[in-house]
Amino acid sequence: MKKVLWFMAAFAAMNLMIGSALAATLSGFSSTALKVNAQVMAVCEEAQHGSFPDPLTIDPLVASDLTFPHSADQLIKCVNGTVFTVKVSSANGTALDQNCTSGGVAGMVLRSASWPSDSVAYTFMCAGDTDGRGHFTGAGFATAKAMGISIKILAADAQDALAHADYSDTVTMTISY
Amino acid sequence: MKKSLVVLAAMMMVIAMVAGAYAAGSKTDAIPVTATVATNCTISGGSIAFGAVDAVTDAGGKAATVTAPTINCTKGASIAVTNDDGVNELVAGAPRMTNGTDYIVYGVTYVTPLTGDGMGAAHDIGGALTLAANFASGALDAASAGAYTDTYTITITY
Repeated sequence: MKKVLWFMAAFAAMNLMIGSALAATLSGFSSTALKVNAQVMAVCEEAQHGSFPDPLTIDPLVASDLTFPHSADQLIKCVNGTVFTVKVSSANGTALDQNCTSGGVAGMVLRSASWPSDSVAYTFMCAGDTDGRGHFTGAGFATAKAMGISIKILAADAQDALAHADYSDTVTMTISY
Repeated sequence: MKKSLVVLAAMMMVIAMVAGAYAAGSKTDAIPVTATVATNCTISGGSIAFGAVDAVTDAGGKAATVTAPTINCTKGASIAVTNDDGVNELVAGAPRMTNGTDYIVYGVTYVTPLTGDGMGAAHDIGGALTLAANFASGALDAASAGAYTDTYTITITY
């Protein structure tokens, strides 16, 4: 009889322990799906200001066109894949918002500060143009895009230039995207 | 003889009724009433919106506008919070939004575990989650323009 009672007590104790253990077990879960969104806008900015040797030395005795590479290329950072257009204007010439292409923009003029009537025509080029229409493609903000700017003076214009040391022009580049 | 039996039977009934009336008293009984409150939770809603971003203005990173999910749990219940890193993750702990081509890595933080406060709007503990999201400096460097999305699932276990 005693054995039976002891066994029953042990059984009851075990049940109690199992019950407690089950009560402590995690009983369920529930979830919610959050929508995450962002709208990345197309944007560009100048990464490096372009410049040319100062001064450009024009030799009237040249027999062929003079080409002056940049001393610092114009660098632009644009959102990856964004197609942007570079337009060029000359402060002294007639070029106004002309697409900057590898073929070059005419109507650019260097003018003498002391003799404003004396000028030298030149062509402004963007060798980085992708399609001949002044279009460039952004490579993301970790990679600046080089415009590949240069200046060309035709041999005939160089030969006709009057000697002055103060020819200058201001080139305005506008980026549209 | 028949009459005698009827009278006898009637007398016995009266005696039985009287005896019954005299036996009346009071008794009490305790009826056990039990209930087990099960742990349960609900979670719904919530959003993470970075809005319009660009690689210049937000070059240093940006925090999202977050709407916390509504969470209700049995009062006192301990709730573990986990997530699935979104549906575009490449590396654990680095969820990504995508426009189908490019990706923007972002981060999410929250508090875990939470303690249930009961059911109903007055007991919503979504705010205690302190849900926050942002993307870091340079996250937009290689991202093309367009709409980016992800679905980030938060699970509460109780």
